Amino acid sequence: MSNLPSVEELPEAIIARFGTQKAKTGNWRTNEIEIDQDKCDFCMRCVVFCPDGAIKVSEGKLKMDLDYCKGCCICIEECPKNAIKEERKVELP
Amino acid sequence: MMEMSEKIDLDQFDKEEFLGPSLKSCPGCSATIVARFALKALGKDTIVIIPASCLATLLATNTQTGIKIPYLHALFECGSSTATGVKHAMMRKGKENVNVVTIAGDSGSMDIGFQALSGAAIRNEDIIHICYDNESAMNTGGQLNSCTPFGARTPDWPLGKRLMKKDAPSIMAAHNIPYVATASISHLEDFYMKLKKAKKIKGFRYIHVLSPCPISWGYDGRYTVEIARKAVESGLWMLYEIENGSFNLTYKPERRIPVEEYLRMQRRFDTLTDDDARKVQEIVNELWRRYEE
Amino acid sequence: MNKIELLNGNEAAAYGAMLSGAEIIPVYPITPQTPLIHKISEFIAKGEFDADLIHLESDQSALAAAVGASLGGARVFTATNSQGLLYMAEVCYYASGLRVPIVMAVINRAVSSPHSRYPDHSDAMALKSSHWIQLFCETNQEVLDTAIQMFRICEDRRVLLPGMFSYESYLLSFTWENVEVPEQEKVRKFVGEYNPEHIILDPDDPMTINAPTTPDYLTEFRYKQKIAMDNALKVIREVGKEFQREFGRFYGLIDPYRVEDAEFVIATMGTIASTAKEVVDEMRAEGKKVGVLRIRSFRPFPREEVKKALKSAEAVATIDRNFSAGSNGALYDEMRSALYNTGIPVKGYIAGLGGRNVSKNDIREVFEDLIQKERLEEISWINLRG
Repeated sequence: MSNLPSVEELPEAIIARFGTQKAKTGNWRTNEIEIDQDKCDFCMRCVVFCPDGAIKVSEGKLKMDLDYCKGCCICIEECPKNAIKEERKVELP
Repeated sequence: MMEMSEKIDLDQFDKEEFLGPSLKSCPGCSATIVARFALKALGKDTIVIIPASCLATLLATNTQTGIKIPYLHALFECGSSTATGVKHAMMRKGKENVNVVTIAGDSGSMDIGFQALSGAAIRNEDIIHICYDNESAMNTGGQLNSCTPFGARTPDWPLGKRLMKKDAPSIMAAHNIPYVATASISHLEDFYMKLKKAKKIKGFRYIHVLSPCPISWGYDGRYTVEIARKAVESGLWMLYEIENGSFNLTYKPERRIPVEEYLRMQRRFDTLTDDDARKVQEIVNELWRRYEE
Repeated sequence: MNKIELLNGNEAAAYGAMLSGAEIIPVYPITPQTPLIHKISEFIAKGEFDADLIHLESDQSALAAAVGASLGGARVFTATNSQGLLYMAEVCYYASGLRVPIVMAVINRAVSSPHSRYPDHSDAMALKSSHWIQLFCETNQEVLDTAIQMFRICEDRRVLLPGMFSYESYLLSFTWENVEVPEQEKVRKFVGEYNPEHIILDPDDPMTINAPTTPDYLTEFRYKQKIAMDNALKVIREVGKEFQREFGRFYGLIDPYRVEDAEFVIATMGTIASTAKEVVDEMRAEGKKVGVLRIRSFRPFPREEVKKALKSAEAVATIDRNFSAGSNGALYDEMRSALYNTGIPVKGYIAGLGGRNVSKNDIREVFEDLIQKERLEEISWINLRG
């Protein structure tokens, strides 16, 4: 409790400012996801359909931000080149 | 697997991101896709009002938020009425250009939120309403609502719904508002184009997006986009817009796939008999027959 | 020059909203609030009042729109009562939690069932825990003056809470009285501008409002509402005094009438106090030391002032125009709590429900009960057909 703001430190009502939410939701993932850069043809389908915005274009490559990728695998299903691979760490029921 | 040679030109979408990471959505959730592209299209001079829903819940917690533009978490039934007040304040304060947008679920739009929505629409308030439709009251665990389709089972209706899905876009069109459109998260360019168009129109604008939910619909989250696409390709979910009363089909499946290909991917249709599936197919056929006429 | 006009309570409230410069007025009609809306529409139609009157499709939507408009930075007024107020209930809590200083007229009317369009306080009392300031008026002059004061009180930085000011349906809403209407400019100056800094929906100052909370936060925000309500005790007094300097009339948290040396006091709210004041004059002439303590501020409840005002009282009666089955009238509970440990007995009366008349004779009988120390510490119903 000690790290939380006191009554006086809090504003009148419950408000929040952008940039404060930082929890690494990538740790929800039960699998590992990897992009095979050789197979990727930059169709960008994985970029737009990633619900977490975790795939970014960086230095001419598509990069998976594993801090936030929840491992849903929409990117794998949407990739026409089969360039994204999943390795399960935990078997789901 | 669908034919997917289609490349997506990123340049058609505005670059700025208004949703940060750390959103507390389930893996494979499509609500964040709806919000991400809606906000990209509308831009930074936007205020978003979201009544109680998954989306309202997953964006922020306590004093932490993952959304960059002003966002008000509204009461469940008060999305459109709260937005009405906000828009009038903007007009009063000389900020007419601020887009006021409500993003509500199907319950917050068509059930508990319907009175306020209908009221705002008939007053032709200068608001954009986006209904992201996951066809159940999902933030409470996927209970049956008026947008649950025929045959789908829910935790509170385990034998499958025997009633029809509410035709939300037609109801909204009957309010004679300047713009009504349907969309699907699988057809992002189409959705985005409609948002951009809506942004330019004054008055009440309504966009109804099919937004599959892996938890409620019973499928692996990896198929979220594929399922939405099958809903469109089977003809079950028609993509159209009604601008000032004139109907325009914005996407026509080249060859409609059997609707069962869509239905049988989802555990919520486990109790759907073959006869029921044929009934759904007939409904779809009739929808397109009416359109062709 | 101030002008004297013949106004009913609703018209007085409409004047209050206009003179204070309400910018956005979202409404939904309900009897007996409607003439208030008619008057405001008339002001607007005549070009005398530059306000945005929004016709919502329900009471609940009206208050939700009021919250939205206030969050957008506008000064907001609305009005409702009875069924309408209860339909707004959820939004009432929402508004006070968001700390939006909406001012709302509540034209007290009984709540169905049985269906009734007549006055009692059960509507406002149902919302006594919604963290709104609640003031109760006795005359149409007070209605107009309180509307003006309300904006100052609610928008005060130390308070920032929404507020209801109440006046009884028919007895005030549809009764005409001479009312002094203060000058527009003077009122605008008194009320000032509303420039919210604590909470705003504005793309130039983006914030997320009302994120779901874990158990780590709600307690502190609720406590902040308590602090605001405590501050309101001071602010209501301050605003009352300043109003008196500007306009010559004083209203505080309580309205004690011949109470200083009174041995037997009736505590009540609203118009019952007017009748009681007449009875006090008559009984004083007969040599009986009686008085009336009208509670103007029910939220915040001014415990200390009440205790101080009643220091010479031997016994107190409360007359409640509301009732909670299984418990008591709301004022009775508050008064017992305020007078706890003082040794002053409090006898409760329920009267005037659903518009039942409370006559001078009824009041006199209450005083007689007190004087004869009849069944003190009990609850009696006045004019109940046994």
